[in-house]
Amino acid sequence: MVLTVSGKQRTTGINKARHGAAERHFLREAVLVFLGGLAGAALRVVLANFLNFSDFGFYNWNWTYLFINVIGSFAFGFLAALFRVRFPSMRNRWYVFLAEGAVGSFTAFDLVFSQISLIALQPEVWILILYVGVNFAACIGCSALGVWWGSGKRPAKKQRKSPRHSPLPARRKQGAAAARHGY
Amino acid sequence: MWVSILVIVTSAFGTALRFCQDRLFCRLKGNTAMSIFAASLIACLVCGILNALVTLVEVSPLLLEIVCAGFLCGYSSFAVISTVAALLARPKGGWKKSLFYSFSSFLLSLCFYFIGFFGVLILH
Repeated sequence: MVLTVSGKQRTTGINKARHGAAERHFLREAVLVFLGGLAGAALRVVLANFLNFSDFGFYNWNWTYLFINVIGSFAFGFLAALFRVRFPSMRNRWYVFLAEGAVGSFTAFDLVFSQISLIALQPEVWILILYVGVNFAACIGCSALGVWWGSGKRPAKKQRKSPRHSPLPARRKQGAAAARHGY
Repeated sequence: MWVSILVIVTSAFGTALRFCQDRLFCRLKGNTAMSIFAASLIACLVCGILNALVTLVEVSPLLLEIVCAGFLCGYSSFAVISTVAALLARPKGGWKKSLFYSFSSFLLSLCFYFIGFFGVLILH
């Protein structure tokens, strides 16, 4: 007896196998994110319990979470640029574990707003505006610094204006390529 | 000790949930920026509601600790928002988009927090 498989059946089988592999890949990544989240949250809890910035007391400002958010923003920006921009061929698992899991769980967004509500109870409005501005600017600035450092890009060097360099097409081409890649 | 362990475990669950939500948005819309934006708004709204309930002595502060410092801290992340904003600024002229994204996410989160907080206080 000869068993024959039609083209449609074969295609369905291949699609099912692909779908199963994608599902397994997604589940593996979700488990890695969970494990990274455990590590990041544990680090946050330890830092929040042991870091004491009470000497820098200033209108109920929570310096501990500001410090945690700044460090986390820099680390996430650095890792995102390193894995996504500079070395895109590097293994995705490390990015998922370190950045999405550990650093994502390390920083706290909603606790900043809890603190804002406490500061808002005080009569001085400028303190509230300053706290929001400092949090906002410090985290985005550190994240941008991390992205810049992680991507490894340097501003393009200026070409020397000596006549020796300009007429050579090979050198001009080389300079243009370097400028295009941001080095 | 047990509260800290619960905070850590719920935070990891929140991070895993955000990851799943990001993948869903990535499949539907092609990027994760809106997913992160939505997560921050939801987290701030729930945090505001819980803070108001604790103020009214309706729920215990322990629940606030576990949900806000645990689950919601994992679910919404300052680092992810600021990195999305920084990465949006990378292309030429992208700084306007980046500034708009970061300002809107921060200000709307603040608004959602106060809506949740004062909404519960007024309704009570």
